[in-house]
Amino acid sequence: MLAWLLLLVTLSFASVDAHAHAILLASAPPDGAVIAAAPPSLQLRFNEAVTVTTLRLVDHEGQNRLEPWQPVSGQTIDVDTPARLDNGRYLLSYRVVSADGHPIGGTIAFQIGAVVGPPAAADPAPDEARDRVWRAAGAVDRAVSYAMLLLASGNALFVLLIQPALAADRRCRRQRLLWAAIGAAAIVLAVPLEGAALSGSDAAGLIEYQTWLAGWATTVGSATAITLMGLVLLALASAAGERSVRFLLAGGTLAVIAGFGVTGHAATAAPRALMIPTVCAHALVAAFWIGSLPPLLQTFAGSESRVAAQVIRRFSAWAAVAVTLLLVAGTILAFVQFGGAEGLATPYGLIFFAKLAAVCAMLALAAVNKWHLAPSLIVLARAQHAASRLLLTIKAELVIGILVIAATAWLGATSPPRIFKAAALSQNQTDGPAQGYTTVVSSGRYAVHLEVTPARAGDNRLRLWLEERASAQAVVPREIELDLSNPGAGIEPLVRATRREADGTFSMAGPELSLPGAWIIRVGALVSDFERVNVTIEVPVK
Amino acid sequence: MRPPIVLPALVALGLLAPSADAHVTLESRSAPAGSYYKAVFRVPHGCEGAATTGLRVQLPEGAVSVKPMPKPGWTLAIVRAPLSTPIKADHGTITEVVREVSWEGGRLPDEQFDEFALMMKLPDAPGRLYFPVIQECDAKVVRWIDIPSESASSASRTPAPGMTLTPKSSP
Repeated sequence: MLAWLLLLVTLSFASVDAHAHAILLASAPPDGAVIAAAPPSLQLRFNEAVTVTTLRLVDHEGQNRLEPWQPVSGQTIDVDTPARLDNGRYLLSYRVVSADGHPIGGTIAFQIGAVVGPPAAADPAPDEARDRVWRAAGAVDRAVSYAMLLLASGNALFVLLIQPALAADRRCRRQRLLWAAIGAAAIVLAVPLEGAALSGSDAAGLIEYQTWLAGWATTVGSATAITLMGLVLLALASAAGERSVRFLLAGGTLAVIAGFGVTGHAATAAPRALMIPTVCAHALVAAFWIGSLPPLLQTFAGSESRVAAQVIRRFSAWAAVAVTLLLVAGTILAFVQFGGAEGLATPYGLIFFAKLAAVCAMLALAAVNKWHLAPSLIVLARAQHAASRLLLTIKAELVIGILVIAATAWLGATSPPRIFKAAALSQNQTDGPAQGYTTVVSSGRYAVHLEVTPARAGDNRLRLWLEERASAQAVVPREIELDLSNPGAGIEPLVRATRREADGTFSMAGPELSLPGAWIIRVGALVSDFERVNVTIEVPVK
Repeated sequence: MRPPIVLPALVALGLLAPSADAHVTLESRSAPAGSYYKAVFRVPHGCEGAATTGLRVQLPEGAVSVKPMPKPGWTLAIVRAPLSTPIKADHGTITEVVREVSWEGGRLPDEQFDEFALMMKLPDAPGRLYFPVIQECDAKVVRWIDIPSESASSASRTPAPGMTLTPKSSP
């Protein structure tokens, strides 16, 4: 009896062998996908029912983000996405047992949003010139949108705080509408410009859906949405009745200013809890200052000097508050962005000082207005002269203000020293100036060369080429497939194809090596129909 | 007297023997060097779920007198290559050998298994012998061509079917 039982057991194992292993057919998000937002659930679909023994969602810090859970079975494994998944790179690593009892493991990689921060991979792309063009176009567009947004919301602030009578003024309304319209166009254009810069597409890319989508997935996309909302409110205020106009102006200004706190490397720098309010305060003051200038001009050009004197007195009172706020916010921003005195001599530092000089000039003009010209307005004998002088200094302030905005937009397109500092820091940790990791492994007649740049957790570029050992001649295989795993971090193999380059090397670039540690890279180079060169290489990733 | 163990054991053996595993493998994995050998390749599944439509086998060096078994529904093709150094055989000199055999044009669904057979005379030296196989499934291809080596530390997911040549039995 026992013997028959044994037979049964043996057979149940034997039948195991007759099955194929389970294979992952599809996943959501798909392997290698870049998605705009965290999906509601993570799905793995296999060719047969499997039991999941391990499932880990590893973020770029190596933390598993999935809650402990009961093993589940089925052909499709579906788990809820954990709450609060930040933008970034994730690896979903699984180990399953198929019906035949054979365990298989694998990993898929995906990315939520575009990752903001220092470019980890120094990808020596030939598109550098194109990239520069996109960055420049982005900076110009940003300058236009900054100017228009500040003018439109500043106009609203002026009406709200300084001279409510202007709310009904046609010229003031028209100006606001015009600025809001140009601003809206510029901020919308920022989306494909950002997308094109990210994807490195050509000019035709601007009208492609993919480019817009790529831009929309970034913080620029969110900022555009919020700002557009604000601009619509400001535009509506131009047509609104007396009762609702104040709400529309205030709401629109708030939304436009909030938009500044969403994107840009100041708003996205750590600590964000400090940086976001600081950036918003900075934008609010800038809007108030620059946006007030055109309505001030209008006031001086069209009103009696008594009214003008009243307006400028009220403006001066608010300006004192604004300048204090500006100094505090500016100091905090500069402190974080520079991260130390050594960053002052960088291109970012130079633009910063140019901007600072221009702001000082504006402050000087404002001081002249406040203490010299404004008091003269009420002295009858000098009122006429003072008013015309005021017109001149305010116009000068406006011109310098535009220069300040241009400098700010340029700063936005320049990497702040804090990023270089962070990069230098991680460079030091790699013990020496050598970039990346290179190695040669032999297998039979062939030697396989592998180059990993920068071999730091994050985006990496892998380059491979083959050589015949005896002749030291390059051999160009038909294809090279890679299989990347990090057993130490519990990352099962990620399977990746490589791209054949013009020089006969094969490359793969991507965020797969997103964790530090020893990565095991299995290289399969198909040299002929029936011959594959297999080598296993351990790559230390810092 | 009833043998309590022998019968179940025999049944087990009989049932175990034909069991395929997840790779393309040879049915019998050892034979005396220099003997005539029937290589039976078992194809237990398709390529990631797709039906198998072709099988190509590369013959190892030293295998001579190769004759594939035709299969209904499959077109057989034989690729011959001249030998650089002709071999003296029982019935004259061999100047040309079969390098590759393929069965194409059939359709073997993923849920079914099939066998493809070749007859040959094995090389004389004992050791390991590998038969790299390319499994074709319409557009997909699985290459069962990995031969164990020191540079690939872990087991391949697509090993080449292999067998052991045992020393010749003394005449």
